[in-house]
Amino acid sequence: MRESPLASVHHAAGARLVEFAGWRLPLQFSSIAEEATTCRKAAALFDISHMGVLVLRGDDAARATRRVLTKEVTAIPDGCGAYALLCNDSGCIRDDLIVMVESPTCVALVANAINHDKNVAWLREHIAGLAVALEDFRGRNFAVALQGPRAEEILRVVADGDPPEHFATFRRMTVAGLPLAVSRTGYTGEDGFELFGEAEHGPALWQALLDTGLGLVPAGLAARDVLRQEMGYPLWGQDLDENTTPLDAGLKWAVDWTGDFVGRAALERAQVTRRRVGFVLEEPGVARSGAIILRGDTAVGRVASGTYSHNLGAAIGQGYVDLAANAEPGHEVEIEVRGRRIKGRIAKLPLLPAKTRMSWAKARRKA
Amino acid sequence: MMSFPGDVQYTETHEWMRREADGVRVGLTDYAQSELTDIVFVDLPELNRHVDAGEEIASLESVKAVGYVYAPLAGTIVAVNEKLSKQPELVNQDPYGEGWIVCLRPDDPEEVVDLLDAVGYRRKTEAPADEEES
Repeated sequence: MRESPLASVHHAAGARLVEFAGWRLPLQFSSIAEEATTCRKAAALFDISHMGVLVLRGDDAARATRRVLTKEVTAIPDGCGAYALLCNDSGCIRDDLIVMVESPTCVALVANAINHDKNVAWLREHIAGLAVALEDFRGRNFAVALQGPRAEEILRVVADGDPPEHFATFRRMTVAGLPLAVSRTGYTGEDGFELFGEAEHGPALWQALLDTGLGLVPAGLAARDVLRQEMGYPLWGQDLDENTTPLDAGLKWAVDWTGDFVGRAALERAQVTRRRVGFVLEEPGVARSGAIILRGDTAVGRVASGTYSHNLGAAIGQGYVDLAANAEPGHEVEIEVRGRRIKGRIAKLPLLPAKTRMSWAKARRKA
Repeated sequence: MMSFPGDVQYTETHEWMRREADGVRVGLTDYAQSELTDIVFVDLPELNRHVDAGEEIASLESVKAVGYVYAPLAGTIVAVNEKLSKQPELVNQDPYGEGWIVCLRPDDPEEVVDLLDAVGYRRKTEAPADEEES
């Protein structure tokens, strides 16, 4: 079991810990409801040190990364990033991640902990022969997510200089006297930042942010999961897997057809038979992974993720439904939970409006 | 801190029961509510239903998981905590008080049930096997 560099701080805070993807991480600090609602009203701080940080360095860094990602990495300006998918040869999703381009010769990937070893092996195999070296930061760095409407205000109290302005941009900054990489990214749909630094600096940074006294609360993985589900963001292993294409998952927007990448040929031929949709329940109960979605008496799909949202006051989730079922937002469905059918409706994702800043890409198109 | 009051008896399946004038009051232990996390729905049984010892009598949905309450002894359900329909979080906030779940009238009021006391139950929750997280 890997311990977070922030383990001592979590222990002192009395956090309830949980095993996740081989790491011991905070599940909750106070109550999940309080953490999830405070994130949308003020701000919440998450330990995301489990996220795998991989850096590719060398003359071919951008080209090598493009070879394995669905995104045109060579067209991403320095200091900018994007959501991208790592596909297998069948065009299905091996992992989803954020790619950050420091320069054409230095590209960072922030990927799911559960896929870390798999990603490292896959990347090594596919960059062989190119002028690029892969550096694995696992265990050497900490990472935290500062998310919520007050995130920028809080960061400014302890940071020297301005934080990155647009969504999916990043810069190196001194925060609380510590050298960090700060990106304007997150998994909550709120404005906010993800901060990366050397493992030994983690506890001091965590405390400095909480000490700003601006309504920031520590939050665990449970609240993070609720918040991402409210936004309809997929989680690999639940909503995405190696049998799901970006097209099934409604992630076509994360695929650039400008160049070749692993899985492209298969993806071009892929038949789409189902799609990912959101739902909101209208009767008591919570529908979780595996529950069957029905229209009338016909099973049309399955729940991939489900939870209860205190921000919406309803049980919510996402799942895959047959394309032939023509499930549109507003359509009534029933979801079978332990032999009982619960009424709900297909809902447009995100379930709550995104509060993220304008992305660098959109700002460029406008200029 | 986790609470283990001495005026109730505990089951292996994390219920507590308290003998009162009108029957046996049953709820979920503090340890169990904490493991389950924020409770959002409580599915209560019908009044006057007869249940056997060990039978499922209620289900509780939390943000994270579902939990069940089992009858600690055979009897008839004579009261359910209707407040939980509107305020399921009472189970989290006050598991041994306002968050009680049902009241049972035992078939045999003299029945001696082999349950744990506070010390025994606390030991059980602290045993390594219970440290696993779901």
